[in-house]
Amino acid sequence: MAQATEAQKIQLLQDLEIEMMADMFNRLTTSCHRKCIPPVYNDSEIAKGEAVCIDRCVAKFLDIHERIGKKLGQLSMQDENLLKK
Amino acid sequence: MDIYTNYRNFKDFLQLYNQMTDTCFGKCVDNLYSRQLEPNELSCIEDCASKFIKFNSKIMTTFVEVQNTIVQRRMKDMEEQLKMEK
Repeated sequence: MAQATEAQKIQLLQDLEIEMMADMFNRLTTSCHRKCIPPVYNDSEIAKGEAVCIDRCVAKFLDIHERIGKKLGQLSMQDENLLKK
Repeated sequence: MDIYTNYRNFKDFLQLYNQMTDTCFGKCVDNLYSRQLEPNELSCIEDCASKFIKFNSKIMTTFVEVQNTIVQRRMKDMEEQLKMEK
């Protein structure tokens, strides 16, 4: 892998992005299932309340993901600036 | 640094990022009455994220320290055993 071409590098990064997106999605699924679906299985349909909960849960999860991403971005910028000094 | 190390570091970083979202979401969001994050949830996430980063670097340094002492002790033990055998 030491002499990877540009195309191979881009391919690697794209694969990584998909893999991480899938990982994030799996975590989101587990978290929101735990928070929104009570373990009482009397009905095979998603109840109205559960559907609303899922909508809010996904919105909040993605919001948090974005905020933490921004924070990490800021921190790594700070680190880079410190290294330059 | 070769490309494999870079790739590995970046992947670990992204995995930590996902784990951080997961942990802080689980600990900070206690109700789902709204789509928007409430002020107390926002400050919780801010603190949770900062603490996660600090915890991570702390645990890394501690791990290296303890690991080093363990390795040194093992080396010493092995040397002593070799001496005993002779």
